[in-house]
Amino acid sequence: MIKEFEYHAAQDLKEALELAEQFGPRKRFLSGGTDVTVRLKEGLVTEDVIVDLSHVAELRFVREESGVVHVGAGATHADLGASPIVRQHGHALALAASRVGSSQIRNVGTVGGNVANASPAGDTIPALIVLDAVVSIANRKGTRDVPIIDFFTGPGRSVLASEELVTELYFPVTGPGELTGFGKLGSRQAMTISTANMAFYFRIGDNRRIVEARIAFGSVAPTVVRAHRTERMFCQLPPLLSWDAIRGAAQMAWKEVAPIDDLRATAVYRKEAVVGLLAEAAYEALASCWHER
Amino acid sequence: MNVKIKLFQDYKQYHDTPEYELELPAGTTAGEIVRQLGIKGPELAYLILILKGKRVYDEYVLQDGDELVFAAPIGGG
Amino acid sequence: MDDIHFEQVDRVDALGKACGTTEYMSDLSFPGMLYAWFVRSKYPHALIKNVDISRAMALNGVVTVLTAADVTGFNGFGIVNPDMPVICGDKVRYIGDTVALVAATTERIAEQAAALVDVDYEVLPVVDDPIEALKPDAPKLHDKGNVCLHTLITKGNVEQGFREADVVIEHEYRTPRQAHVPLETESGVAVPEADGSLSMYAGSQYAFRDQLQLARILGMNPRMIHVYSNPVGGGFGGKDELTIQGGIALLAMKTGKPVKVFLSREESLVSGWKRHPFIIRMKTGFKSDGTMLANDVTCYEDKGAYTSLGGPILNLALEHASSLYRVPNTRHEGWAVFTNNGVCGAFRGFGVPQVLFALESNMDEAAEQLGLDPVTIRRKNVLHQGEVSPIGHTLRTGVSMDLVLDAIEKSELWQHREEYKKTDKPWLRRGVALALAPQGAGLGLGIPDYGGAYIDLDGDGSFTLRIGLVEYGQGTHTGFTQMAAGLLHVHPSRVRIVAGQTEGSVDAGPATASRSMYTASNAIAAAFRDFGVKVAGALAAKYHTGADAVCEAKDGGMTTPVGFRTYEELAQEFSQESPLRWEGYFVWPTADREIPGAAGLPHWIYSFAAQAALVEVNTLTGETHLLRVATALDTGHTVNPQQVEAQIDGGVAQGEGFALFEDTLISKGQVRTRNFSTYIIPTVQDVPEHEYIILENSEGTSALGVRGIGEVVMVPIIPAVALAIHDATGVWVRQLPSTPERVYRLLHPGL
Repeated sequence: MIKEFEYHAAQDLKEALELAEQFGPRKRFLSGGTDVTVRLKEGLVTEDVIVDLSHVAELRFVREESGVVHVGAGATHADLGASPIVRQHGHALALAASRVGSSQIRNVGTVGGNVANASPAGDTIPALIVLDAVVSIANRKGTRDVPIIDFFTGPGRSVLASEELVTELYFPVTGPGELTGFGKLGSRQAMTISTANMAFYFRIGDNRRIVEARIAFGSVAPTVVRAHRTERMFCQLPPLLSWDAIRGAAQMAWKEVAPIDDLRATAVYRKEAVVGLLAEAAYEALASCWHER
Repeated sequence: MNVKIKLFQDYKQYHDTPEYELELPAGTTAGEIVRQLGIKGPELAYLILILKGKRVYDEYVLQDGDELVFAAPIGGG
Repeated sequence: MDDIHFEQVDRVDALGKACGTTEYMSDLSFPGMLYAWFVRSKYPHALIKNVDISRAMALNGVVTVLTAADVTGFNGFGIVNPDMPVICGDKVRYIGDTVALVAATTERIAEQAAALVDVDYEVLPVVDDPIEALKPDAPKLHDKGNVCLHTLITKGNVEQGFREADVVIEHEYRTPRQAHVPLETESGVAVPEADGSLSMYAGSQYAFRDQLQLARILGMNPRMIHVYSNPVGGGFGGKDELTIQGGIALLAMKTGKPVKVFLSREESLVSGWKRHPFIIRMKTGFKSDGTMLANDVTCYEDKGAYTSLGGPILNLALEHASSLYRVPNTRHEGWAVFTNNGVCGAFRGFGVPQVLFALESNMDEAAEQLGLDPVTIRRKNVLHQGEVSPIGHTLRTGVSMDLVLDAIEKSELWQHREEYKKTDKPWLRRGVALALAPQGAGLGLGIPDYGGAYIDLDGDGSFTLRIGLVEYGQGTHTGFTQMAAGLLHVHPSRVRIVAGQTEGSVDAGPATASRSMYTASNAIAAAFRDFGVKVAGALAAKYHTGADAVCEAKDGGMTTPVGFRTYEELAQEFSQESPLRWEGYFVWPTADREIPGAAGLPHWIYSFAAQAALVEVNTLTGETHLLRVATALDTGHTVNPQQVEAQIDGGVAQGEGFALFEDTLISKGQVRTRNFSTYIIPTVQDVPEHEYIILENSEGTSALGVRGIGEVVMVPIIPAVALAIHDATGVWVRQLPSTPERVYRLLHPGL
């Protein structure tokens, strides 16, 4: 049974922030509602006020300014998947957004909600991490920016204070010589919570080697995690397309994740699977600039 | 008149043989046979009477040559 | 009647369902209607020491709360054995068991009241493994013990067969607790009528049996209970048995008000019927040329808490445990065992998918060891009409095992399988495999299997077909309409159907067991014959044409001894006769000898299909995608090709779910997969491309030549997927569903 609660639909950002301040920890934001409504049905929402952000039009945008992609917190997964800007300059994010739920869920679920939810299985999060995104946070008095890697403090937990709201995510554009990708393992092709997910960013140097790598894994630790040692392995790869070498580099991920057993999969299998997800996606991406000897 | 009775499933326990013939006076109803057999309780509630694929009820007046099936509507296959 | 023409039309129920205007029973509302809530057990196995309803009754808006003492008739239901209490009085045996029933003015109040029913339990140890449950010291669910049914069927001497065999394959297989997950969950409204009768509006697969089960529960005359069960928002066997009807009927009779319930998906998944998981130990012996010599099978059926159809399902599984292959020595043994693992009952396939997964797997493994290809080894062993089955009965009706095998071999997928298996990704492997299946149709020997139909000629010259068999998505009502229209020589739009209700339609048995189209073909044809005879008789009486006058349907009317008459003219001519009704009845043919010790066996008529599957396995993650399926199916005589393809589509998706995704996980009696994020069914993104091969080997005992196909289309796909994974990767899948982690662990046994 869905419990009784107080409901406020904010009409603009100003009102949303006022409501946030007024109700503080008593309130829960609802953006697309794809997570909150499920949790309401399951009796998992402890707050007794719902502040609905879905009418706040000013938070729904995607734009590029001076080499930086700005994504409003209210942009839907469908918006991101279809945006030429995101597809070109933040490819991993477009891929991740396109693998969330189903068309119906992507049409209402938002990137701001995905981030603020702080689920270790959130699909856009590893993509935003490898794109070096920054989270813009506002309260009624002003704004602050937090690098996304510092945003999450645990499963379902973040640095957001109760009167604060995620308003935007921004990241530098990727261009020629930069490869990004995303991979997801679920229980079926769509409508599936990630058993594990993964995103990567590779910058290819003049010698065609990877000179900078960022790799992030989801659903394999209390928060989405960077895999620094695995990144170094990829930076050491010779610029030749070798399945064995790429798979060997990805193998390091085994040591950098700490998954748990749950209904969807066991920990040891998740470790194996993230290695596979990375190897597969990296091989496909690197095939565009490396060749077999 | 002559009527053939065929008992299925749990209703077999109500007679020595699952199939038998009866010589009956004209006008005998199906319900009288049910009562003769002493079918009671939940088994009576779950009883169906079938005549050549057609459900009949207690008030049905038996005809010479009828084959009356006693069964429960259980399923299978 | 083999030359009958079936006019092709859109599904008769398509527009209403697509536009949302079709009224399902769960859409109905009545003035003053109350809402029911089923108070479910907290424990999977416990004694009930006390039930205190005082706090619940005190809640504003609560009209009544019932406990076991309030059951007016027999407190139990079950198609075969009524051992499932409507309201448990002394003991609960699974967490879906009902301990009290609430009726309140709103659903919300009813749910709140349910939480206020105080039940004292004495918790008992949980029985959750059917093999453990057979041990003498296992806790007992029922007074008679944990064995629901034990069946042993033997032919020849298996030990002798194994001694003569060149290769013997022996494995244990496990199959999932598949849920039916119809779009419309268990739901309905019970309405007490002014004359003391009860109307039950609840989608189900057999209104006429619901009527008797409800009469037994309420202690009422069955004819004071009117059941309306059509249309149904999906059944698949899960609405063959009663679900919520007993509870809302008791509440309605007690309160004198209409009472509605519509289960949430979570409650449906926890409390509803499921497919029985099987543990199958199968040992199969072959000669070096592939000839089967012996098959020794032991099945353990996880019955769950109550009987329902667990016995007939076990027996149908044992009937099919050696398929229709020529096996001289067989030993098929089965145990249906009570556990606290939910409740299991009828489900499309009825035990056959479970055993054929094992058998077809042993078959392919033998072929591989003997260097034979999968078609050759099967062709060596398939039976033909007139031969003796593995359980000892002679196959008198048509057997199409060889036809579907030949057709699947010629399928585009099988012919070009090497090309389909190519992939340029180092981590992907593709495989193709095939399997074939018979599926016994109808209820089996010893169970009266019959059906009736009425054809009414309405005043405007159109027709109403009245038949008990419900439409739950199969497309049968379109088929019935086409069959009646074809016989009457009118356009199908001139025939409407009234079905699935004890008032206004006629008992035609349950819509189960691949029996609807076949039963209807004969009942409708019988009614049509009655129509011709009665029209001829009436005309003879009126016009003194002589008693041997014959009428034939033609061009929207009938040729009669007094000339051609349109149906409008006939309707006017006989308008004083009321109703203008023609009746047809049919009794299924059955075997003349039973299989000793196996109630219900053998079946007399079979469906046949062969399927080939192309899968792609990701060796890095174990993910398996079903890419393409070919189906060769014998329809006997196709009434509606579009509906046949749709049944194949649906059957393949349900079989794919069984093979790759679906399982109700229960640990210590608690259901862990309570919604669609954990109970995984395939979505449209997961279903394959299809190749359809329709064969028409007319079934001689059907007036129109038709066979049922609803079940068999989901059976061979299951072993075909498992065996295609083997073809792709070299590993043998012994447990379904073949989830990514299971496949990965098979590929990496050391993990």
